[in-house]
Amino acid sequence: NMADNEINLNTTVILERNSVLKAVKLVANKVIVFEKLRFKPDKAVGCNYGTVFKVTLTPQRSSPWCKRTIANGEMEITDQDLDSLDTNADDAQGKDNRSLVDTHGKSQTIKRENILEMKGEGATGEEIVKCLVENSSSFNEKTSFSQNKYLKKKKKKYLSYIRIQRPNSRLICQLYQEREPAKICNMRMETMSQILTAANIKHGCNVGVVETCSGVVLGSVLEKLGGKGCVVNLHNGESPPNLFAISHFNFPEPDSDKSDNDITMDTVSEQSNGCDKTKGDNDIKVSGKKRRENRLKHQQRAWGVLENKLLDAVVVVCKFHPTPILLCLLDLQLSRPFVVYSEHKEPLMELFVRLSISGSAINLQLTDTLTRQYQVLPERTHPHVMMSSGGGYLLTGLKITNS
Amino acid sequence: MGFTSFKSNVEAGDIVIIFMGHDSMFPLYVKKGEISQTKFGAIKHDQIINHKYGTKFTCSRGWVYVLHPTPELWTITLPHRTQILYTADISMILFQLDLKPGSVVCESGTGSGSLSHAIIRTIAPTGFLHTVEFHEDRANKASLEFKKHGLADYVTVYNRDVIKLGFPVTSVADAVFLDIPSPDDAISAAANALKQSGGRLCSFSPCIEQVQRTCTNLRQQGSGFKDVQVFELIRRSCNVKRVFVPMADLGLDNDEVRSKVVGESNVLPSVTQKHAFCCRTCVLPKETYGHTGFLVFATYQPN
Repeated sequence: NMADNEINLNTTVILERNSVLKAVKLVANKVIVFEKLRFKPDKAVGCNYGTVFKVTLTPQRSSPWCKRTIANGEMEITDQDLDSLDTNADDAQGKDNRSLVDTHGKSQTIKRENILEMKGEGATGEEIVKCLVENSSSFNEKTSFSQNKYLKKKKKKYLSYIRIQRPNSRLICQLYQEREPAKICNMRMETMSQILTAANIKHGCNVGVVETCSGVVLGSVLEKLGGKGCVVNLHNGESPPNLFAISHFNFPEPDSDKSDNDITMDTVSEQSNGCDKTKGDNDIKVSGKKRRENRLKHQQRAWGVLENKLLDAVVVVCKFHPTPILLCLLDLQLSRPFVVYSEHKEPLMELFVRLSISGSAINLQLTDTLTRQYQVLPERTHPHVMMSSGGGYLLTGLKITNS
Repeated sequence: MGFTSFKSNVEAGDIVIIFMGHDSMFPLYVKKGEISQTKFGAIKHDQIINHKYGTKFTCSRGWVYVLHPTPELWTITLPHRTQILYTADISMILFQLDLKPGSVVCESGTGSGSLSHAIIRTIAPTGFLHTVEFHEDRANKASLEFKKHGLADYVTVYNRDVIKLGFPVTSVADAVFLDIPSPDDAISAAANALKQSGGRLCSFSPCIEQVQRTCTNLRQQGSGFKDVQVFELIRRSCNVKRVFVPMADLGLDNDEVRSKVVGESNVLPSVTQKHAFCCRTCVLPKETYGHTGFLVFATYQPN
């Protein structure tokens, strides 16, 4: 079904320029500002996901108090292969650098101001690159390999290609990992992937989720449920949690078949004391009676799952100390998994000991994962020079009877 | 049906996991009237039928837990017919291939079915796995195993050579997984199996030379593949233990020594302990997997 693969208005997409990602909701006629580019999304509508667009450069404001209106860039479909702009991806390496003379930037006579001026006059990216080449005294002395590399570097900077991708948990996780890791408790995607398998998340299961990861964990769990099952999202305090990333997933509007349910964590502790009153139905900020009714219905369903101890998995990925949270939620069904993430080892060590003493869990494992990415090129294969030095810890286990 | 859905009680015909300890588990097919021997004594199957999963049973020389099967438990208990993939790599593969209920996947080879079980769990009940194995006996055994596990509706095993014949289906897959000796020769087979609207590819290889050839072919003009990335994962499991670090006898009764070690603040209780400093720590195993294989990922998107 090709129509499924078309970019539509009023959905969230992932924009990519030079490996930088951003999630944006496309709204007709509304200007998008992304990586120094300004453009309206309308031309992307109807194109397939994965299409690469060239966006014309826009003159930049010369000073912050300059109120001159700025023209928007134009979007244009291209078949540019973004990988071919990767300066590392060349076939051969330059011989050596014995004849390289460091000119300390004097070989280029075009200065930053000149470029800004050119942009102000509406020069295209190609014109700027051409001008840079013509005014570089060293360009002709370079080997063809390094001429190529120079060109690619400049093209990458001045020719503005963006790619539009369909959001999914992989891209949303990557986006947060690279741009706002603190908002997902510095969790990395290999950890996210292990959370989903260790908790055995599958179609139609009931999952209890406690997260302070902007909704990335909740959204990923929902994605893997495939529209059936129940997620009971427990959060701290009365105020609604930050679940901004949920909107990136383009889940259907909250209606009868949506499986996300909110309950405050505080209500759970009440519930565990034998009180069964739901809280928080006064602070629902929704317009329309139907949505309110739906929401209430969801909350009741979530309560039903908790009260009848029907949880198939518990996932805790938050900034809080996990021990009390997990101990309250350990009412899940027998032989079902739980997964707890923490940025730090010590809280999980404590939980590990508590659980092994209590006898309510087996197969306890405290793990961390080292991920190494590789540059694989002919004659130039090696691990990436920079890598993440640690991505937190996971405690996994299975619930059993303690009798 | 245990791998794709949950149930609370053990029934005849189920596959269950018998847990005797962290590194001592095995799978068991429950059959009326049968008795199985374990190192802790005999298990009468009739004794566990109708009981809840997660229940503890006492045998003559110890106790066992009867666990609900999961692809992760299966991975650590399955009968090996080949080298298998383990959970850290499997997790990354499922996640990077964007698998979810409804995805159609092509896999080669099936091997011992460790990854296959995890794929089926994630894509069921609306998705499908086409798995190809060139070794006839292994293909038959895998096929039988899927049937026994109630997974036949979600998977077909084909005995064929993917490099010579390609995958048995064309333009239907959302994802392709390769774990074969020369994945670089199967790139066009993968492209043919993937949907024209695009999809994801993963190739797992233990050796860097295979990875280099695969990357070269993926980056070939007109291959349709983009965003080639290579990862390696090392997952460490640690043991929480109380350790005692002995203190050297420096003669803390001596005032001069004491003032040097304790200082004025007297805030470090550890240094004044007479015999040993005690703390809880994570003890790493003496040996661990330092290398399983390289994971090559790419996006398929023909122009």
